[in-house]
Amino acid sequence: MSTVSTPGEPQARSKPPIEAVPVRHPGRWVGVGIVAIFAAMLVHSLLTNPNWGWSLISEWIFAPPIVKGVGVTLLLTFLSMIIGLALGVLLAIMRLSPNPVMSGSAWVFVWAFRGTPVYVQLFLWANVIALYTTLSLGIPFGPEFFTFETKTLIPAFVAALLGLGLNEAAYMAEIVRAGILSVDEGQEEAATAVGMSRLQTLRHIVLPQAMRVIVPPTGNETISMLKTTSLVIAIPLTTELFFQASAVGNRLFQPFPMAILASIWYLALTSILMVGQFYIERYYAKGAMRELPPTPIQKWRRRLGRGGSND
Amino acid sequence: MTDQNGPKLLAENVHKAYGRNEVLRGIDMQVRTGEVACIIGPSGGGKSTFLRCINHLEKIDSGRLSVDGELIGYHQRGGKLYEMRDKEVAAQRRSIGMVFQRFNLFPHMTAAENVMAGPVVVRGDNKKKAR
Repeated sequence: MSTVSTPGEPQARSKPPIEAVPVRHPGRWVGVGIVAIFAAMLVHSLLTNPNWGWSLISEWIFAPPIVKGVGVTLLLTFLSMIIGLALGVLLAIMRLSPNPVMSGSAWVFVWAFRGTPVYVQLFLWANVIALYTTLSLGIPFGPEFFTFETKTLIPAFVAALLGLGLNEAAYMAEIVRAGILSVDEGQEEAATAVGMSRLQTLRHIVLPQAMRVIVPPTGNETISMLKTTSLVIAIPLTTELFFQASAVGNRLFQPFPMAILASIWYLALTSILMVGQFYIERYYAKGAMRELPPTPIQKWRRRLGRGGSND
Repeated sequence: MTDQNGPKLLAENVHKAYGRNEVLRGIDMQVRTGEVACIIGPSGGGKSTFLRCINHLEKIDSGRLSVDGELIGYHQRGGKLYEMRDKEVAAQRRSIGMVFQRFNLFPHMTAAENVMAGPVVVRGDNKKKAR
């Protein structure tokens, strides 16, 4: 039943919804078919090829040395990131300082620590003993009060933290600097005009806005750091996840399943970090976007509420 | 040194150049308490530059600028000028209001927080009182 209304008599119009046949996309179905075949092949081989060693993996995944390795890996990641962040912010501020000695020394730090491989740096920290056998506390070029042996002062874990943390600081410094530079100059001016000091301006006006630019790459760095911890074998620090997993693998003559086991742990941990990153990013998007991006939960709720989706 | 009867704002022979581009060439101006002054001119004429000089966001090259009889950005002792410390300049700015051309509001704060930013952060007022 349809009524044809002519323009000019708006009162009498009814509003029947449009019922049209949607455009068909046969190409999409072909694509879906191809992907489905590959996915089926992958799942089939995962399930049927005994060399994956799933039973071995499930047997060892929560074994004490592995779980302890996960703990050490996480601890290394977070402590190194804290060192990297704190030192990175300091270096970025130094780099932007009007004092040429400050900005120059920050530049040299970034140049040296970003310009050499972490693996080499870790090795150097572990062998700093070869360079300085003792460390002393005293007046520079004058008398010494306390003397320590480097061997006892820098155990493997501390060497790992130094290597990872200082390397990270160089990268974080550049990320933070980019964030600070991304804030409009007018903001600093306005804050100055209200009578804020340089430090107050930085803390209350510039840094909160710079965070929006700083957070995404920092999350990236954290995920990257989690994986970089597997390089501490250069020291060698042997308690972390990958070394423990491959040690078990070598003992059982099954190195491959144990590498998969380590990968499963790394993937699980990075997935958790990604969730955290999403919510932190959302928090700092305040004021920069009209509407905050929906959380996954909100997305699903909306999609279900609408019934059929349009894509 | 504060002179209550003198002009609120006094500019004498103010010069300001950016490189070789002379923007202000000898500005003289007096504004008394309660007076409303308008500075009108074409864009690029130096209106904003002059306002920024009053707040010491720009340093003037020669001449004198004072608010309430107090020299902006400098101390004068025995015929010699001494640059003020950043803290002292900030203290002067606190008593001079300024609205920017593009407003330069702080986008990560609410409207109320924008207005409160000055008193709360700078003077350490408590938030309730500032509201």
